[in-house]
Amino acid sequence: MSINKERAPEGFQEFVSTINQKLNLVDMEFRRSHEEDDGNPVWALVNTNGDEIAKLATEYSPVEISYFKRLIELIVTADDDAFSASSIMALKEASKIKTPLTKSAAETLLQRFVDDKWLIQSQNGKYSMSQRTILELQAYLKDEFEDYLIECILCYDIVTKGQRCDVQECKSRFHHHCARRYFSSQNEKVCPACKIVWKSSNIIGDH
Amino acid sequence: MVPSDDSSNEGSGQILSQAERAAQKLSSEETERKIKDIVRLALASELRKVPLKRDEITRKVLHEHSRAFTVVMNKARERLRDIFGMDLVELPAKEKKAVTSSGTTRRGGANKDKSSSSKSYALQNILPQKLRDTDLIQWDRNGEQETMGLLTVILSLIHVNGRVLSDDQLRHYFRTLYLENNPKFELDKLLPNFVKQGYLDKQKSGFADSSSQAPEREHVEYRWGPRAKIEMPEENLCGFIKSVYGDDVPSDIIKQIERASGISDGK
Repeated sequence: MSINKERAPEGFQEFVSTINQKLNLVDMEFRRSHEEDDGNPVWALVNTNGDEIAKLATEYSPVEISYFKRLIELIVTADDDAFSASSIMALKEASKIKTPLTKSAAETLLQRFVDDKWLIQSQNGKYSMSQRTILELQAYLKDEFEDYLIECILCYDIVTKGQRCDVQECKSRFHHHCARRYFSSQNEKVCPACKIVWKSSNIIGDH
Repeated sequence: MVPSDDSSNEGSGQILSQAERAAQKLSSEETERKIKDIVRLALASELRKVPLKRDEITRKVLHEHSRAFTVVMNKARERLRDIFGMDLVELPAKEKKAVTSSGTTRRGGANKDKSSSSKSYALQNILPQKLRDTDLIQWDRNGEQETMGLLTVILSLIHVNGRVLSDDQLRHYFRTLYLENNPKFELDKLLPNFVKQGYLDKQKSGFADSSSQAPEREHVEYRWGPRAKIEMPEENLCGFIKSVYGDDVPSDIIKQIERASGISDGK
């Protein structure tokens, strides 16, 4: 769900925390994040407990879920911080899972993941994670791919579309909109951690 | 608006005290956890549109404390109403074929017969109407709206045909409404799905049509399924039928619907 308002109305924070007090009783949370590409705020009702019951809460079959997990792995571990997978790679993966999917079944399923807003398909056909996936599967992603998923130093959300520091060892990452916001208040454009000149051309994500 | 807690089927004092005694063996943390798990199980089942069976609650949540069912269940219902505006209600038991011979008693039949409870539960929206009629919510997820529209049409047709419709009649209506071979609706997939989700009840009719020219074909009848009964209040259905007429709605439409559904017999 996206709320296209620059500023939340008066009392909104309190409203959300009232809702969350109730939702926490059943291990759920109304959680806020931002669209990675434009920085618009988004909200999602997320499950915070990966118990057996939560695994029942899906309209996908176990085979479909195992394919989805492989896709996520492909996307997260892509070379050069691309955080995306070409459709050829995605389809190839479908033949590698335990119960292989035919090409046409995989194509249908990929479209379903896009329609259900779990994946995004860009203009050039590459698949990446949606904000829904990043929000709802946050616990899973952080558990499985701790070394790959690095947080933005401004908003502390995972960055899969943004910019990185020029220094290979430096962990500084920004979303594009977070970088704009941060550097607009700085005198010089250097990495907040290692103070090396910040080049906005070191892109994370589909490029 | 909110049903009271004593609406459970097991109203007898003895059974209730037994459940209460069983519930007392649970610590407050355990009770809290079981309430939470029932709520989560109910939400997960609803997403897949499968009924939540009492047996599943016992197996996945209560375990050896199955006797505390009534007490824990009532607390879980309270929490669902409080947080989500949803009640967890028992689905009506399937109508027995024998009852359907007389149109007038069909309706009360299932309700009176308390011994044949379904032991299956589903969520029921109990939000006041004014909170539901909001354009904040976009319902058009994956063409769900069209599918539910088709379902409402089918339920209406069943309703005004004395609450039962043969497969042949239904196909006839589909042809009339240009729904057959309509690329928007894969009827051969949607109908079994409605049955699976409990919106439609499909039964082979008691007598086979031996005179039929297609002798191998089964005679199949559709009725409202248990989920339709708890999700679709009759006044909403009447409202839907009225809206189909637009400005030309007859003034006695409600009476006509009642007569056609076999409630009043027009006498």
